[in-house]
Amino acid sequence: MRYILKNIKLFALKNTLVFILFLVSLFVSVTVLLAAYGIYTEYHEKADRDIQGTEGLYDLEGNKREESDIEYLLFQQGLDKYYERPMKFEECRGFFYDLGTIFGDKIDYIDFSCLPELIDIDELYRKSTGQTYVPYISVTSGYKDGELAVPDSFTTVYGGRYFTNEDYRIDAKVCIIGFEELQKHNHEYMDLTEENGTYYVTTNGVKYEVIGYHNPEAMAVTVTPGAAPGDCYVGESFDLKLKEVPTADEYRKFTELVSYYFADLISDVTKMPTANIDTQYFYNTNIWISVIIALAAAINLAVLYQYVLVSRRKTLAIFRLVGGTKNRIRRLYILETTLISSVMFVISAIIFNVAIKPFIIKVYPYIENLYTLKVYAIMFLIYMAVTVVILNIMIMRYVSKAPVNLMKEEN
Amino acid sequence: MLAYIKYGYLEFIKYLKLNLIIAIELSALIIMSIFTVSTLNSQLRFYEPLKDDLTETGVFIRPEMISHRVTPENKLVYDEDILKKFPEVNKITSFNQFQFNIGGADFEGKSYSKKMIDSFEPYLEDGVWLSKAKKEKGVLNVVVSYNIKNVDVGNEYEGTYIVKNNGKSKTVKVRVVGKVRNGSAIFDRAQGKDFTKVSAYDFFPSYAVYDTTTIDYNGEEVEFTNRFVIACQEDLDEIGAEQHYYQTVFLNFDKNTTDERLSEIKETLKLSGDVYDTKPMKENTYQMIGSKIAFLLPIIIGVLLFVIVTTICMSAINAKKQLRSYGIYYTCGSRWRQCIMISAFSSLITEVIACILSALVLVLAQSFGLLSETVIEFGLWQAVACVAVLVLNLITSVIMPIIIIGKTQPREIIKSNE
Repeated sequence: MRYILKNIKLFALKNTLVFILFLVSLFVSVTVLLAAYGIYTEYHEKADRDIQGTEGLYDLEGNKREESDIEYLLFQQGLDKYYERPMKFEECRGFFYDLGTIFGDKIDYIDFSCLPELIDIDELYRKSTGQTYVPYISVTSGYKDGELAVPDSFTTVYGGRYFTNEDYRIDAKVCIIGFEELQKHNHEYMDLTEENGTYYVTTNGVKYEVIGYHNPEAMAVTVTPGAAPGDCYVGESFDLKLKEVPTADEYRKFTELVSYYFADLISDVTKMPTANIDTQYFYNTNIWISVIIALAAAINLAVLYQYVLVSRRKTLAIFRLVGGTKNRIRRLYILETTLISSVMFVISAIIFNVAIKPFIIKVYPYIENLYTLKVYAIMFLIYMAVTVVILNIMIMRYVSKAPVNLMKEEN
Repeated sequence: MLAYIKYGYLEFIKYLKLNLIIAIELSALIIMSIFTVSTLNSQLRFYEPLKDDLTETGVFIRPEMISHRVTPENKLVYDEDILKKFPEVNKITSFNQFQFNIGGADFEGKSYSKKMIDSFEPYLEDGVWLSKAKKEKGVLNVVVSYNIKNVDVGNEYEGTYIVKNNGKSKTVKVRVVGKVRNGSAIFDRAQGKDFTKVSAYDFFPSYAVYDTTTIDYNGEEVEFTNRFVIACQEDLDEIGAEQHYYQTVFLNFDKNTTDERLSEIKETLKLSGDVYDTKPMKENTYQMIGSKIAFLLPIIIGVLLFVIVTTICMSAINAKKQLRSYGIYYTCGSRWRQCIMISAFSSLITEVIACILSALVLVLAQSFGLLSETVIEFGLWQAVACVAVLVLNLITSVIMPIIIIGKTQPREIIKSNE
């Protein structure tokens, strides 16, 4: 350790300018690394939350905007031609799976509300309150890793449990119901029975085990797409919630899918907000800038450290001649650079946190809570790993040279 | 001068490895400055096309939607409707619509003025933008959106349009010169907004195109589409095609128009649709530009800082390495000033190599499609940024030896070969 500190002292005294530049380069690299991570996160956070994908969370007046979900209603209160050409669920069961292939993990949930029989849809909406008194089948799913899965939201149950990914995988005949309402209005379309303490709902000839309870006032019997009865009628609403704004191409494929499944059963495909291509391209460019900065910073540090190594070649040669092994010298130099880099990282991170971050947050509001101790620790590990690997290669090249060659080398 | 070049070249060769590394680093800085200026330009690209329309006294009109075959009194459909009534108007910028059929498929026609076409280019998936396409007499150049009708770039089709003030159809030879990338911003009407709060940016919405057909249960073909075609207003006028305002008209008035007359004009215009002053729009746009620049400021400062630090590092290392040579040159009769000139010429050679290298990298990246989904472009401002980086490098390569040499004697420099 004493030798390492002595080495650093000599480095600072003999090559003051290079030493200062080395420290400044380290500081700039750390700061740019931290800022680049912030900008990258800002983009993803923004894409996730900002429905327009352009103005961020603040409007022109500087007021904070309400966060909006990217929720899409293909139709509500019935298909446009519900009576003219009733559509059975079996005809559009594949819609769930095809939506998954388009939007993938962006899907939060897909919800199809179907009616057990071809009934008067207006009966669902009572004049005064709009409260529905006819139980409907809610076919709900999320999508993860190429398969239908538990949705991200609306999975809260008042009792029992929600579906599991396994239920989705094996098309389990299980359901979640609004217990009180269903019991109160035990309807001709749905039969609620109890067997040995377990409740069952039978609808359209399919018997489902009740595994959980919705809000007691809900009239929905929620099932998974694979287990939903094929002969119920698509009649009430279709709801799709995405976690991220879709791209224009995803929207195009979505309209193709809607057209394929529903043809003219709906009057038009409602406009869906799509990711702003300008914003996307802008961030892609910034990511390229970060990559180039990282590359240039690495070259810069390498050039500076190479100069240090060259200026130390005689010391190194003597060291080797008096019995210093290659590994020992390599370890000494690595420890020296690690020590300088670690100290500089800590100093740079403190300066970034105290002086630079408050300024950046004003411009990139999403990164406000980003820089936690954990993030700094991860950044530190990444930074140190890259620095050590690059410098190790350089040091190895020099240490491997024969002492005579080192002595003979010119500046 | 030749001697400087010669010794500069010799110095470059002597430390070839280091100079090549510096050239690589310098080319990274050049590329970085091109990218940074491109991001800045990308944030301002919606302001430039409407810059002259958003004036203190101008107005923006959203004319009522009028069937193109009927032109009722007091309604605004064409430029001549305005010019006839208000001779004070000296400039009209509008977004027009026209009916167009290409190769048997209907497209929603959008037409822009030549000035708009020259100042704004949407992102293209294929081909070139209208301003860059070669014009041929009797052929109408158009740019199309995504479509399933196989209307693609490079092909020629028969286009059918409606003749102005006539209502009859006529055909024209159409050449598709470009295809807009789906989701790209295009000049269009601003939608669903409080028009006192709109800025120039709202007239360039991201346009997601869908185009699909299916057979319904009656066996009939059903179409869901918003595919479009873009043409130049002046080109459409040349062939006598019908095109009418589509809720977006900017008017600029003669400077001598009095306030009373302006109020009078606005009142008359209100009979044709909603009328708004462009002054608040201009202010909103400036506010938007301010927020865009503020958004970019940390990036610009970061890049600038990095460029300066890196350039100084490169020059310092280079100067330190060449110090011994300068000592020898000095002993042989050269003055420090001449040594510095040699250093500058050596740096110049490095800069030339860096320029070639960065051009090569950009061309390769472009050909491999790495830059296709970015805002990177090369124009005047990018060139200025590159020159700035090169000049900065040259200045530091001149200053650094001066700082390092300081008051050191040449003898000490030659001896210091640790």
